[in-house]
Amino acid sequence: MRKAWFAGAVAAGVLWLSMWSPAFEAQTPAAGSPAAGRGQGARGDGAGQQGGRAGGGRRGRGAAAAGPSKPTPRWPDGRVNLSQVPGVKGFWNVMTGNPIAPAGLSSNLTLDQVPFQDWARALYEYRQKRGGLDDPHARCQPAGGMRFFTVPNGMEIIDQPELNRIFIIDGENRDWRRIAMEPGRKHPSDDELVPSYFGDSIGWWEGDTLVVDTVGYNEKFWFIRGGLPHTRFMHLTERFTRINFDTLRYQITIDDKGAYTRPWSGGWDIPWQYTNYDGSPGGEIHEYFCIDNEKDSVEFAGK
Amino acid sequence: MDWDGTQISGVVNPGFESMALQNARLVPKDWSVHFEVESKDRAGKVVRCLVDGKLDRLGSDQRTLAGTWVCGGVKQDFKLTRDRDYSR
Repeated sequence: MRKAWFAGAVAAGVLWLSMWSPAFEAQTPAAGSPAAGRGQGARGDGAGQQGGRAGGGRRGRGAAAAGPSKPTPRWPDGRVNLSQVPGVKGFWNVMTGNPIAPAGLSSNLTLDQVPFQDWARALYEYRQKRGGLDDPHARCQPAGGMRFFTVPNGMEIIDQPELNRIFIIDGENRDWRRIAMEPGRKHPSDDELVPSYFGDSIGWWEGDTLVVDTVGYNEKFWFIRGGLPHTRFMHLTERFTRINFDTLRYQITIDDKGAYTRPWSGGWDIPWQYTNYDGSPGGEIHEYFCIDNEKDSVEFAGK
Repeated sequence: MDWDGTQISGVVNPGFESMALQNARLVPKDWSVHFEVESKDRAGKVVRCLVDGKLDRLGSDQRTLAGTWVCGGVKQDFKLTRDRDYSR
Protein backbone atom coordinates (compact mmCIF):
# COMPACT_ATOMS: atom_id res chain seq x y z
CA MET A 1 0.00 0.00 0.00
CA ARG A 2 1.37 3.33 -0.91
CA LYS A 3 2.41 5.57 1.92
CA ALA A 4 0.74 8.39 0.15
CA TRP A 5 -2.61 6.82 0.62
CA PHE A 6 -3.49 8.31 3.93
CA ALA A 7 -2.20 11.69 2.95
CA GLY A 8 -4.35 11.40 -0.10
CA ALA A 9 -7.32 10.53 1.98
CA VAL A 10 -6.63 13.49 4.18
CA ALA A 11 -6.48 15.71 1.14
CA ALA A 12 -9.72 14.28 -0.10
CA GLY A 13 -11.27 14.91 3.25
CA VAL A 14 -10.10 18.47 3.27
CA LEU A 15 -11.58 18.89 -0.15
CA TRP A 16 -14.73 17.33 1.11
CA LEU A 17 -15.01 19.75 3.90
CA SER A 18 -14.28 22.51 1.49
CA MET A 19 -16.97 21.34 -0.87
CA TRP A 20 -19.56 21.75 1.79
CA SER A 21 -18.14 24.98 2.98
CA PRO A 22 -20.82 27.18 1.48
CA ALA A 23 -23.40 25.51 3.46
CA PHE A 24 -21.46 25.41 6.65
CA GLU A 25 -19.92 28.83 6.74
CA ALA A 26 -19.31 29.59 10.34
CA GLN A 27 -19.43 32.91 11.98
CA THR A 28 -19.90 34.56 15.27
CA PRO A 29 -23.21 35.22 16.91
CA ALA A 30 -25.82 37.06 14.93
CA ALA A 31 -27.13 40.39 15.98
CA GLY A 32 -29.99 39.74 18.27
CA SER A 33 -28.73 36.33 19.23
CA PRO A 34 -28.05 35.50 22.84
CA ALA A 35 -24.33 35.50 22.25
CA ALA A 36 -24.21 38.72 20.31
CA GLY A 37 -24.62 42.00 22.06
CA ARG A 38 -22.05 44.19 20.43
CA GLY A 39 -24.48 47.03 20.35
CA GLN A 40 -23.89 48.39 16.92
CA GLY A 41 -26.89 50.55 16.49
CA ALA A 42 -28.34 49.82 13.13
CA ARG A 43 -26.30 46.66 12.95
CA GLY A 44 -27.46 43.69 10.98
CA ASP A 45 -30.74 42.78 9.44
CA GLY A 46 -32.28 40.85 12.24
CA ALA A 47 -30.05 37.95 11.34
CA GLY A 48 -31.21 34.71 12.75
CA GLN A 49 -34.44 32.85 12.66
CA GLN A 50 -36.99 33.47 10.01
CA GLY A 51 -39.64 35.67 11.40
CA GLY A 52 -43.36 35.67 11.01
CA ARG A 53 -45.23 37.89 8.62
CA ALA A 54 -43.17 40.89 7.93
CA GLY A 55 -41.54 42.37 4.97
CA GLY A 56 -44.78 42.27 3.11
CA GLY A 57 -45.15 45.97 3.20
CA ARG A 58 -43.80 46.85 6.58
CA ARG A 59 -42.51 50.36 6.55
CA GLY A 60 -38.87 51.04 6.98
CA ARG A 61 -37.81 53.13 9.87
CA GLY A 62 -39.05 56.64 9.60
CA ALA A 63 -42.37 57.94 8.53
CA ALA A 64 -43.86 57.38 5.15
CA ALA A 65 -46.29 59.82 3.62
CA ALA A 66 -49.76 59.73 5.07
CA GLY A 67 -52.66 58.75 2.86
CA PRO A 68 -52.67 57.05 -0.51
CA SER A 69 -49.41 56.81 -2.34
CA LYS A 70 -48.64 59.08 -5.24
CA PRO A 71 -48.39 57.46 -8.69
CA THR A 72 -45.27 55.78 -9.88
CA PRO A 73 -42.83 58.51 -10.96
CA ARG A 74 -41.34 58.54 -14.43
CA TRP A 75 -38.45 60.12 -16.23
CA PRO A 76 -39.18 62.60 -19.03
CA ASP A 77 -38.78 59.82 -21.56
CA GLY A 78 -41.48 57.79 -19.86
CA ARG A 79 -39.32 55.20 -18.15
CA VAL A 80 -40.13 54.39 -14.58
CA ASN A 81 -38.00 56.23 -12.06
CA LEU A 82 -36.89 53.78 -9.36
CA SER A 83 -35.19 56.45 -7.30
CA GLN A 84 -35.75 59.94 -5.91
CA VAL A 85 -37.60 62.66 -7.75
CA PRO A 86 -36.78 66.35 -7.48
CA GLY A 87 -38.12 67.77 -4.27
CA VAL A 88 -38.86 64.44 -2.59
CA LYS A 89 -35.94 62.82 -0.87
CA GLY A 90 -35.86 59.35 0.55
CA PHE A 91 -34.74 55.81 -0.12
CA TRP A 92 -35.95 52.22 -0.08
CA ASN A 93 -35.78 50.51 3.25
CA VAL A 94 -37.09 47.29 4.76
CA MET A 95 -35.35 45.02 7.20
CA THR A 96 -37.69 42.09 7.13
CA GLY A 97 -37.83 40.98 3.53
CA ASN A 98 -38.38 37.27 3.27
CA PRO A 99 -39.32 35.07 0.30
CA ILE A 100 -41.06 32.45 2.44
CA ALA A 101 -44.69 32.63 3.56
CA PRO A 102 -46.29 33.84 5.71
CA ALA A 103 -43.89 36.73 5.11
CA GLY A 104 -43.73 38.74 1.94
CA LEU A 105 -45.93 38.41 -1.10
CA SER A 106 -49.10 36.36 -0.96
CA SER A 107 -47.67 34.09 -3.65
CA ASN A 108 -44.67 33.11 -1.51
CA LEU A 109 -44.11 29.43 -0.83
CA THR A 110 -44.39 28.07 2.66
CA LEU A 111 -41.29 26.53 4.13
CA ASP A 112 -42.65 23.05 3.41
CA GLN A 113 -43.06 23.98 -0.23
CA VAL A 114 -39.51 25.20 -0.74
CA PRO A 115 -37.88 22.54 -2.96
CA PHE A 116 -34.81 21.93 -0.85
CA GLN A 117 -32.41 19.15 -1.61
CA ASP A 118 -32.15 16.89 1.42
CA TRP A 119 -28.83 18.27 2.58
CA ALA A 120 -29.98 21.85 2.11
CA ARG A 121 -33.11 21.35 4.17
CA ALA A 122 -31.11 19.64 6.90
CA LEU A 123 -28.63 22.48 6.92
CA TYR A 124 -31.36 25.10 6.93
CA GLU A 125 -32.96 23.42 9.92
CA TYR A 126 -29.60 23.27 11.63
CA ARG A 127 -29.06 26.97 11.06
CA GLN A 128 -32.52 27.77 12.33
CA LYS A 129 -31.89 25.68 15.40
CA ARG A 130 -28.72 27.63 16.03
CA GLY A 131 -30.60 30.88 15.81
CA GLY A 132 -28.22 32.57 13.44
CA LEU A 133 -25.11 32.01 15.54
CA ASP A 134 -23.22 30.95 12.44
CA ASP A 135 -24.42 33.73 10.18
CA PRO A 136 -21.49 35.26 8.25
CA HIS A 137 -23.32 38.59 8.18
CA ALA A 138 -22.99 38.72 11.93
CA ARG A 139 -19.25 38.93 11.29
CA CYS A 140 -19.64 41.71 8.80
CA GLN A 141 -19.57 39.64 5.65
CA PRO A 142 -21.44 41.36 2.81
CA ALA A 143 -25.14 40.72 2.34
CA GLY A 144 -25.10 39.00 -1.05
CA GLY A 145 -28.05 37.87 -3.11
CA MET A 146 -31.50 39.02 -2.08
CA ARG A 147 -30.27 39.78 1.39
CA PHE A 148 -28.87 42.97 -0.07
CA PHE A 149 -32.42 44.29 0.13
CA THR A 150 -33.11 43.41 3.74
CA VAL A 151 -30.34 45.21 5.57
CA PRO A 152 -31.59 48.01 7.77
CA ASN A 153 -29.74 50.95 6.38
CA GLY A 154 -31.62 51.38 3.14
CA MET A 155 -30.73 51.48 -0.51
CA GLU A 156 -31.04 53.64 -3.60
CA ILE A 157 -31.23 52.75 -7.26
CA ILE A 158 -29.12 54.99 -9.46
CA ASP A 159 -30.13 54.74 -13.11
CA GLN A 160 -27.58 55.90 -15.68
CA PRO A 161 -29.14 55.03 -19.04
CA GLU A 162 -26.63 57.10 -20.96
CA LEU A 163 -23.96 54.75 -19.61
CA ASN A 164 -26.05 51.61 -19.88
CA ARG A 165 -25.77 50.82 -16.23
CA ILE A 166 -27.68 50.93 -12.99
CA PHE A 167 -26.11 51.03 -9.57
CA ILE A 168 -27.86 49.90 -6.44
CA ILE A 169 -26.17 51.42 -3.44
CA ASP A 170 -26.74 50.03 -0.01
CA GLY A 171 -26.44 51.73 3.36
CA GLU A 172 -24.95 48.58 4.80
CA ASN A 173 -21.22 49.10 4.64
CA ARG A 174 -21.89 51.28 1.62
CA ASP A 175 -21.96 48.18 -0.53
CA TRP A 176 -23.04 48.54 -4.12
CA ARG A 177 -24.14 46.44 -7.04
CA ARG A 178 -23.61 47.26 -10.68
CA ILE A 179 -26.24 46.17 -13.17
CA ALA A 180 -24.93 46.09 -16.75
CA MET A 181 -27.64 47.34 -19.09
CA GLU A 182 -25.79 47.17 -22.38
CA PRO A 183 -28.06 45.57 -24.98
CA GLY A 184 -26.89 42.07 -25.73
CA ARG A 185 -24.53 41.93 -22.77
CA LYS A 186 -23.83 38.34 -21.71
CA HIS A 187 -22.42 36.94 -18.52
CA PRO A 188 -18.77 35.95 -18.62
CA SER A 189 -18.18 32.26 -19.16
CA ASP A 190 -17.92 29.99 -16.15
CA ASP A 191 -14.17 29.95 -16.59
CA GLU A 192 -14.00 33.73 -16.58
CA LEU A 193 -16.37 34.37 -13.70
CA VAL A 194 -14.76 35.13 -10.38
CA PRO A 195 -17.22 34.08 -7.67
CA SER A 196 -18.22 37.07 -5.59
CA TYR A 197 -20.74 38.26 -3.03
CA PHE A 198 -22.82 40.16 -5.56
CA GLY A 199 -22.08 38.20 -8.72
CA ASP A 200 -22.28 39.41 -12.31
CA SER A 201 -25.54 41.18 -13.08
CA ILE A 202 -27.10 42.07 -16.37
CA GLY A 203 -30.42 43.87 -16.63
CA TRP A 204 -33.14 44.90 -19.00
CA TRP A 205 -36.57 46.44 -18.88
CA GLU A 206 -39.74 44.47 -19.41
CA GLY A 207 -42.33 47.19 -19.57
CA ASP A 208 -42.13 49.02 -16.26
CA THR A 209 -40.22 46.23 -14.56
CA LEU A 210 -36.46 46.13 -14.25
CA VAL A 211 -35.28 42.54 -14.60
CA VAL A 212 -31.83 41.64 -13.28
CA ASP A 213 -30.14 38.32 -14.01
CA THR A 214 -27.18 37.41 -11.81
CA VAL A 215 -24.73 34.52 -11.69
CA GLY A 216 -21.26 34.05 -10.26
CA TYR A 217 -21.91 34.03 -6.56
CA ASN A 218 -19.44 32.77 -4.01
CA GLU A 219 -20.63 30.64 -1.12
CA LYS A 220 -19.36 32.72 1.75
CA PHE A 221 -22.65 34.29 2.75
CA TRP A 222 -26.23 33.48 3.61
CA PHE A 223 -28.30 34.92 0.82
CA ILE A 224 -31.21 35.64 3.15
CA ARG A 225 -31.36 35.91 6.89
CA GLY A 226 -32.32 32.61 8.43
CA GLY A 227 -29.76 30.76 6.39
CA LEU A 228 -31.30 29.40 3.20
CA PRO A 229 -28.37 27.45 1.72
CA HIS A 230 -27.00 28.15 -1.72
CA THR A 231 -24.14 26.93 -3.87
CA ARG A 232 -21.97 28.33 -6.61
CA PHE A 233 -24.64 27.30 -9.09
CA MET A 234 -27.03 29.94 -7.80
CA HIS A 235 -28.67 31.95 -10.57
CA LEU A 236 -31.00 34.72 -9.43
CA THR A 237 -33.55 36.53 -11.52
CA GLU A 238 -34.81 39.64 -9.76
CA ARG A 239 -37.72 41.81 -10.83
CA PHE A 240 -38.13 45.35 -9.53
CA THR A 241 -41.49 46.99 -10.07
CA ARG A 242 -42.38 50.36 -8.56
CA ILE A 243 -46.07 49.75 -8.19
CA ASN A 244 -46.64 53.24 -6.81
CA PHE A 245 -44.49 56.04 -5.46
CA ASP A 246 -44.08 54.45 -2.04
CA THR A 247 -43.70 50.78 -2.92
CA LEU A 248 -41.05 48.80 -4.77
CA ARG A 249 -42.12 45.23 -5.41
CA TYR A 250 -39.19 42.86 -5.29
CA GLN A 251 -39.65 39.42 -6.84
CA ILE A 252 -36.95 36.84 -7.13
CA THR A 253 -36.52 33.44 -8.73
CA ILE A 254 -33.86 31.20 -7.21
CA ASP A 255 -32.37 28.61 -9.53
CA ASP A 256 -29.66 26.60 -7.80
CA LYS A 257 -29.32 22.97 -8.78
CA GLY A 258 -26.81 22.44 -6.01
CA ALA A 259 -29.25 23.21 -3.22
CA TYR A 260 -32.79 23.00 -4.64
CA THR A 261 -34.56 20.47 -6.81
CA ARG A 262 -36.16 23.10 -9.05
CA PRO A 263 -36.30 26.88 -9.41
CA TRP A 264 -38.63 28.66 -7.01
CA SER A 265 -39.81 32.19 -6.48
CA GLY A 266 -40.76 34.63 -3.76
CA GLY A 267 -40.66 38.28 -2.94
CA TRP A 268 -41.71 41.18 -0.80
CA ASP A 269 -42.53 44.84 -0.98
CA ILE A 270 -40.00 47.49 -0.05
CA PRO A 271 -41.37 50.79 1.23
CA TRP A 272 -40.05 54.24 0.47
CA GLN A 273 -38.64 55.99 3.52
CA TYR A 274 -38.97 59.76 3.60
CA THR A 275 -36.91 60.40 6.71
CA ASN A 276 -33.42 59.72 7.87
CA TYR A 277 -32.75 56.41 9.57
CA ASP A 278 -33.60 57.82 12.99
CA GLY A 279 -36.83 59.40 11.82
CA SER A 280 -35.42 62.90 11.62
CA PRO A 281 -36.11 64.95 8.50
CA GLY A 282 -33.78 64.35 5.63
CA GLY A 283 -34.46 61.15 3.74
CA GLU A 284 -30.85 60.24 3.27
CA ILE A 285 -28.98 57.01 3.85
CA HIS A 286 -26.67 57.43 6.77
CA GLU A 287 -23.14 56.14 7.05
CA TYR A 288 -22.82 52.74 8.61
CA PHE A 289 -19.97 50.27 8.69
CA CYS A 290 -19.69 46.90 10.31
CA ILE A 291 -16.09 46.35 11.33
CA ASP A 292 -15.48 42.97 12.79
CA ASN A 293 -13.29 43.06 15.88
CA GLU A 294 -10.74 45.53 14.54
CA LYS A 295 -7.96 43.31 15.80
CA ASP A 296 -5.63 44.12 12.97
CA SER A 297 -5.47 47.86 13.36
CA VAL A 298 -2.41 47.60 15.63
CA GLU A 299 -0.61 45.96 12.75
CA PHE A 300 -1.09 48.95 10.52
CA ALA A 301 0.86 51.46 12.56
CA GLY A 302 4.54 51.66 13.40
CA LYS A 303 5.72 48.83 11.22
CA MET B 1 -13.86 17.34 -5.52
CA ASP B 2 -17.03 18.59 -7.08
CA TRP B 3 -20.74 18.64 -6.50
CA ASP B 4 -22.94 18.94 -9.56
CA GLY B 5 -26.21 19.02 -7.72
CA THR B 6 -26.70 15.29 -7.71
CA GLN B 7 -23.34 13.54 -7.68
CA ILE B 8 -20.12 13.94 -5.75
CA SER B 9 -17.02 13.35 -7.79
CA GLY B 10 -13.34 13.92 -7.27
CA VAL B 11 -9.91 12.39 -6.91
CA VAL B 12 -7.51 11.56 -4.13
CA ASN B 13 -3.90 12.52 -4.76
CA PRO B 14 -4.50 14.53 -7.93
CA GLY B 15 -1.74 13.67 -10.37
CA PHE B 16 -0.38 10.58 -12.04
CA GLU B 17 -1.29 8.38 -9.07
CA SER B 18 -4.70 9.84 -8.57
CA MET B 19 -7.55 7.72 -7.35
CA ALA B 20 -11.09 8.54 -8.34
CA LEU B 21 -13.66 8.80 -5.59
CA GLN B 22 -16.23 6.05 -5.77
CA ASN B 23 -19.57 5.67 -4.06
CA ALA B 24 -19.18 9.04 -2.40
CA ARG B 25 -22.19 10.13 -0.44
CA LEU B 26 -23.38 12.36 2.35
CA VAL B 27 -26.33 11.47 4.53
CA PRO B 28 -27.80 14.74 5.79
CA LYS B 29 -29.87 13.02 8.45
CA ASP B 30 -26.80 12.37 10.56
CA TRP B 31 -24.17 14.16 8.42
CA SER B 32 -22.28 10.94 7.83
CA VAL B 33 -19.87 10.76 4.92
CA HIS B 34 -18.71 7.75 2.96
CA PHE B 35 -16.41 7.31 0.02
CA GLU B 36 -14.21 4.67 -1.48
CA VAL B 37 -11.09 4.60 -3.62
CA GLU B 38 -9.05 1.91 -5.25
CA SER B 39 -5.43 2.06 -4.18
CA LYS B 40 -2.53 -0.30 -4.82
CA ASP B 41 -0.37 -2.11 -2.35
CA ARG B 42 3.42 -2.52 -2.64
CA ALA B 43 2.96 -5.44 -4.99
CA GLY B 44 0.73 -3.43 -7.24
CA LYS B 45 -2.37 -5.26 -6.24
CA VAL B 46 -5.55 -3.22 -6.24
CA VAL B 47 -6.84 -2.58 -2.74
CA ARG B 48 -10.23 -1.10 -2.07
CA CYS B 49 -10.20 1.52 0.67
CA LEU B 50 -13.31 2.59 2.54
CA VAL B 51 -13.63 5.86 4.39
CA ASP B 52 -16.48 6.57 6.77
CA GLY B 53 -16.80 9.64 8.88
CA LYS B 54 -19.13 12.20 10.27
CA LEU B 55 -19.19 15.94 9.88
CA ASP B 56 -19.32 17.90 13.10
CA ARG B 57 -19.44 21.55 14.09
CA LEU B 58 -21.42 22.23 10.96
CA GLY B 59 -21.74 25.91 11.60
CA SER B 60 -18.05 26.47 12.15
CA ASP B 61 -15.59 27.48 9.49
CA GLN B 62 -13.34 24.97 11.21
CA ARG B 63 -15.81 22.13 10.99
CA THR B 64 -14.49 18.62 11.26
CA LEU B 65 -14.75 15.26 9.58
CA ALA B 66 -13.82 12.38 11.87
CA GLY B 67 -14.07 8.65 11.37
CA THR B 68 -12.15 5.65 10.16
CA TRP B 69 -10.45 4.47 7.02
CA VAL B 70 -9.96 0.84 6.15
CA CYS B 71 -7.48 -0.11 3.49
CA GLY B 72 -6.07 -3.55 2.79
CA GLY B 73 -6.77 -4.84 6.25
CA VAL B 74 -5.43 -1.76 7.95
CA LYS B 75 -7.89 0.33 9.93
CA GLN B 76 -7.16 3.74 11.40
CA ASP B 77 -9.06 6.61 12.88
CA PHE B 78 -8.77 10.06 11.43
CA LYS B 79 -9.98 13.55 12.17
CA LEU B 80 -9.80 16.40 9.69
CA THR B 81 -10.35 20.04 10.50
CA ARG B 82 -11.19 22.41 7.71
CA ASP B 83 -8.92 25.35 7.19
CA ARG B 84 -10.48 28.77 7.44
CA ASP B 85 -9.42 29.77 4.00
CA TYR B 86 -11.22 28.62 0.93
CA SER B 87 -11.63 29.89 -2.57
CA ARG B 88 -15.35 29.62 -3.11
